[in-house]
Amino acid sequence: MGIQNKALVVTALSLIIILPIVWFFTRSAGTPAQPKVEVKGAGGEVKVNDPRSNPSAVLSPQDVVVKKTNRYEILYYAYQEESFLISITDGVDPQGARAVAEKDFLTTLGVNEADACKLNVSLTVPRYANQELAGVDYGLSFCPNGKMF
Amino acid sequence: MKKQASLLWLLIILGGFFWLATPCQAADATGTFSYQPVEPIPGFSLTSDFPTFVTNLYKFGLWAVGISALIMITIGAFFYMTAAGNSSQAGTAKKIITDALIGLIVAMVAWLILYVINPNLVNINISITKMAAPGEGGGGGSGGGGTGTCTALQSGPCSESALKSSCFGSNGTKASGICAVESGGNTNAESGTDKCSQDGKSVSIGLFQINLTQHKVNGLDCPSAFTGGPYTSKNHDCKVVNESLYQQCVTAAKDSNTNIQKACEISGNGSSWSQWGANSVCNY
Repeated sequence: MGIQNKALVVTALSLIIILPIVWFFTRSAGTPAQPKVEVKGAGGEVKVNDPRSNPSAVLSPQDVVVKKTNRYEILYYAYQEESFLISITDGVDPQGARAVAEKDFLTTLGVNEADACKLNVSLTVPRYANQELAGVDYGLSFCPNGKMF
Repeated sequence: MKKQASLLWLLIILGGFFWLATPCQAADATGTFSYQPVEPIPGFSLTSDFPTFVTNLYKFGLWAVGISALIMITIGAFFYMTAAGNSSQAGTAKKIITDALIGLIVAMVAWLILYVINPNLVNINISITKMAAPGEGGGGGSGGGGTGTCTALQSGPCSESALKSSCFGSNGTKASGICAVESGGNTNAESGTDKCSQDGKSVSIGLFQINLTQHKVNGLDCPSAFTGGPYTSKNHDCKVVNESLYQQCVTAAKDSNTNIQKACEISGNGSSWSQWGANSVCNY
């Protein structure tokens, strides 16, 4: 094999090896393709990962616990209108729990912040977690109607 | 001299980075940490979240390393191709290609090593909350009314509209406010404070935090699942003695319709909220 052919092979191999590696490390959270559904929100319909596809618990046909950790829970409600609830149960560091929960909400549903703001999403803190913060729907902090703790 | 020049370049690059990313960051009056970069990372949207900003910066760095490596390998390959028997040029070409590959591997492996040790090492999570200054925000005393509010919810099973069309009728707004405080509208809520002292089991469950040591739920004799009850604000001395019945009661109380029906029954269709701690905030 001539030296020119060798150079061509090296260049081609470099392209074949490097680009997939760079793509692998820079792609967004590595989750396999999930079934998408359209959810109606106040701002219109948004395609999201099916909240019923891998739930933590199904309490009733209308109430699905999408995700539960010891700091927060994400629920999906299918009543007259579809909605999501993020319940912050970490009363010691609610601000930190909210930041993680909101990020997890976006990842779990596979939506960006703009689309998330179109959905009906409540974010609350129960009294047993933090009495001072209870009784208010704070919404998503990055949305125009979001309230800070 | 060469060392000094390298140091100077490093300072210029770092300075440029901080200039680009100069954030308007401060814990505002509500204690929230805000971050507003002046410029976004190329190829990524402007974010007000510092961890996301750093993650974007890292991804940008990986792309930069990958593209640089590709360019250097191509240059090395060109040198190698045109060496035409010149062993010195061929050696230089090999060195360029090797260095580029090493750089790429180092950049990739740095992330991989941290991820293998503990995935949390590559998850940046910064949370800065406002510290209360002495004499600030105290009030309330022990278990008093606090500074909470009582706002009716607008979606989910505890929404104002849903409860108005339930057994609460015109008291639906009040019921929604109580539910918002008690559980935040979470059908799956298990109290983290109302727990039997002997075994740590939650006694207040669901939307209206129905006390299982005091009330039957959906025909189940839930109080008989406990010994030492009923659980009250003064008596926490209880223990689950019938685990199977307790679990059935928890499941029943987490059903939104059952929980709402029970709250209706206890509150006289929403006319009396004295049994709920949330009423110290709502004052209905």
